Amino acid sequence: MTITSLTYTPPIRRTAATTTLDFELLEAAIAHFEAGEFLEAVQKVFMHIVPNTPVDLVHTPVSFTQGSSRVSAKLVDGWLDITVPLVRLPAGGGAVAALRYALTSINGSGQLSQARLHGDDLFLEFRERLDALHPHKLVEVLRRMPMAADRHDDWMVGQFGATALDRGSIQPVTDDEANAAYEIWKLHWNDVEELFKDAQRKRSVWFLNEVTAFTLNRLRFALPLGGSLLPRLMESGNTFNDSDVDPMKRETALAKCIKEMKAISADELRKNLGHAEYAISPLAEGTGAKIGEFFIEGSYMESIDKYRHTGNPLEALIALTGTYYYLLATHTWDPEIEAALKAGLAAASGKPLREAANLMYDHASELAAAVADDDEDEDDEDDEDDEDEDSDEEEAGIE
Amino acid sequence: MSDPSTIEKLGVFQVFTGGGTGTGFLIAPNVLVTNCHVVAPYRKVAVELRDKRRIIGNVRRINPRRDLAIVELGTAQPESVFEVVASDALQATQRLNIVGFPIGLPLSLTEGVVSHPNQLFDELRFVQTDAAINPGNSGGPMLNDQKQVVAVTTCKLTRADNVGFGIPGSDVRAFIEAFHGQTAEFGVTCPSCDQLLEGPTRYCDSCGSDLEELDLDSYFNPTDEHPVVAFVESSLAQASIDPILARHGELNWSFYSGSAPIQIWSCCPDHLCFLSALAQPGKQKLGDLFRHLLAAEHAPFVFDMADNVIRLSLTLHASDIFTHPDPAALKERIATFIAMADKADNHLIDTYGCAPAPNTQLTFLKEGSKAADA
Repeated sequence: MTITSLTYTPPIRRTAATTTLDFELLEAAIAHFEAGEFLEAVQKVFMHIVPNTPVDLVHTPVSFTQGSSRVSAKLVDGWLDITVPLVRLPAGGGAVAALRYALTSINGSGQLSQARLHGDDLFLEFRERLDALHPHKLVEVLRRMPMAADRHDDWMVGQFGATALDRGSIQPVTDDEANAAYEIWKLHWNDVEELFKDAQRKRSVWFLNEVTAFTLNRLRFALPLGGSLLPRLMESGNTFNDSDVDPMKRETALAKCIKEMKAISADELRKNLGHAEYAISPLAEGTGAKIGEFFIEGSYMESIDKYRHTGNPLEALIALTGTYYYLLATHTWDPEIEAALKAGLAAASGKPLREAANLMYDHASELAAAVADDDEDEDDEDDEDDEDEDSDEEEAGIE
Repeated sequence: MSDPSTIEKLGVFQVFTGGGTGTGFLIAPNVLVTNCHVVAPYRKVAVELRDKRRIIGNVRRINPRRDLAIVELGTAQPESVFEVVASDALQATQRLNIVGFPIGLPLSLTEGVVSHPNQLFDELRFVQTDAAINPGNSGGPMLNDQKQVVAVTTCKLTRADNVGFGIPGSDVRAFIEAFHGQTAEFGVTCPSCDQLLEGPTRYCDSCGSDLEELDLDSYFNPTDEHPVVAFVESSLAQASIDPILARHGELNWSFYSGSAPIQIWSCCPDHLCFLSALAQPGKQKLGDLFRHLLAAEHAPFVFDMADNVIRLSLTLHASDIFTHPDPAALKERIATFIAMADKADNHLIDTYGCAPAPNTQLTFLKEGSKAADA
C-alpha cells in the first residue's frame, strides 16, 4: 500500500515561549570584565543567558532547569563552579558501560565542560577563576553544558540502568495527551514504513533525504519526546538522516529504526513523554530569512516544482511537509508565522498527493514572499562575488 | 621502485612550517630542494627524518617566481642524493614517478606520464603530467625511470582532472648552480635576471626591474606572528620544546613528549586544543581504569576515548590567550599537560594493563630496541 495522502495532527508538544536575549547585558558584562569587575561580569552573563532566573551569586547559587537537568553555579573562593548532576552509576556491568559512555560520548577535546566522577556519581563540571572567565567563555559554557547534560542523562538511565540525580521536573502528559500521542506515533511510523518502501523503489537519494528528515521532524514537532526514546531516535537518525553516509547503510538504519519504533507500546511511549522546562531555549530563533532560505525561488524549490510537474507529487509533498515540520520543530516563531506554517500543513492534510503538493507549494511561496526579508539579495551578491574569486584561482599551490 | 624499502632509501623528506607541510629532496647530503611556497616566509623549517626525528633546516635561497627553494640541513643524511637532469629530452607519454608525502601520509610514490614536456602556463614553462598530485606533494621530485629528477612538483589545476605541473629540470639545475656560489645566509632571486637579492629593495640592482609586486619585505622581514602562534610557541619554549621543530602547518603543532605524541591545534576560532593519544584499554580492570580516567583530580585536564584509544586533552578558550590575568600560570598549565602526557601513558600501561596507542613513539622505541637487540 503506497501513501495516498498525509495527515496533519495538531501537536501535543507545547510551543516553547520565545525568549529574546538582551545583548546589551552581554556588552555590559564585557565592559565589566575589562574594567576588572569580574563578579559583575559573571552576573550580567547569567542575566543575559537565563533572563527569567534570579541571579545573586554572592548570596545564593544560581540554579535553573534545562529539560531533565538541573544546572547550578556557585562562587567558591574567587572561582565559579558550574555543575550538572548526571547519574549515579548502577551496580554491576552497567557501570562499566556507563563509564565508557562518559569517556567516549560526553568527554572530548574542544569542550570546556567535562564529565567527572565523584564516588559513584557522575557530574558535568566546569570550574574557572572569575578573573579568567571572559563573558564569551561563560556564554559558551552556559549554552553548551546544560544541553549536553539534558541529552546524556536520560540515555544513561535508559541504556545502562543508572539512577538519575537531582532531575529537573518534567510535567507528565495527561491521559488524553498520552492517547493522542500514541495515535500520532502509530500513524507516523506506518507512514514512514510506506515511504521507506517508496524510497527503496525509487532509489533516489534526494527522496531518501526528504523521507529521513520527515521521519525525525514530524515527531519532534508533534510530541514532547524525552526519556531514552528521543536519544535512541536521534542516534539512529544520525545515520539514516546523514546525507554523507552510504545510502544502503542509511536504509538499513532506517529499517531497523522503523521496526524498533513500531514495537514501542503505549505505556512505554507515555514513559518517554513529558512537558519539560528549559531555562535556555533549545530552539533557534526563527526568522523570515530562514523561511526564505528554503522557499524563495532557488534550486530547492526548483527541484520541488520539477517533481510536482513531472508526475512525482509525493516527492514534492514530502519535501515541503518535512521542511515545514523541521522549521516548526527546531525554531521559535512569531505566533503569526507559526500559525501560518501549521495552517499550511492542515490545509494539505488528507488531500490527494497532487492537490496537496500544489497547495503546499503555493502556500510556501506565498509565505516566503510575505515574510522573507532582503537578506537573499545580499547573499546572491556575495555568491556572485565568490564565483568570481573562484574563477581566478584555477591554479592552486599544493603544499 | 615497487619495493617499499627502495622508496625509504630515497633522499626525500617531509618539510614542516607554520604554514603547512611539503616535500623536499636531497641534492647533496645536507642540501634539500623544495618549493618556495612550501617554506616561505619562514627562514627556518623542520625536516622529518626517516626515524621520525625532526631537525632544523635553514632556508638559504628562494625563487618565488619559479617556486623553488634551497634548504640547508645541519647534518648530512645517509639517504640517496638525486641528480637533477635537464628536461629537454622529455617526451609526451614518457613515464614519470612522483615521490612525496600526499596529504601528510608516509612517503609515497605515484605514477603517471608526461602529458606535455614544455607546457606554457601563466607565462612560465612546466612539465605537465597526469600523475596524481595532492597537498603535501609540493616540492617533491618528479623522477624518470633512472631515478633522476626531471622536474619539481609545484601545483595542479583544481578544476581539472589529472593536470599537474612540475618545474622543469633545466630551471632547477640553473637555480642549484647559482646557489653553489652563494655566500649570503639568505637571498631571494630576482624574477627578471635571477640575480640574488640580499635584502628588501624596490628595484633590482642588476636589471633595474621594479620589485614592488614581489613584496620582498615579506621574505626578509616576515610580519609579526599570529597571537595564538606567539602564545603556543612561547609556551612550548618554556616547556623546553623547540617550537620550530613542532610546527605542523597553520595553527597546528605536533611533537613527542617522551613517549607521548602531543598535538596542538586550533579547531575553531574559539578553541585551542591540546591532545595526546596515550593507550588502548586492556581486557582487565576496565571499571577501575575508567573510574581513574574520570576522577575529578585530573581537572583541568581530561581523559576521553576515541576509537578505543585513551586520550588526554586540554582545551583553552580564545579569551584565555588574550585576557588571562596570569599568562605565566597558563603557560605552566601547558607545560604540566605535556609532562603529564608523558607520564600518563606509562601509568596506564603499568597499572591498568593498557597497550600503547598505535603509532606512538613508545611503540616506535620498543620496536627500535628490539631491532637493536637483534
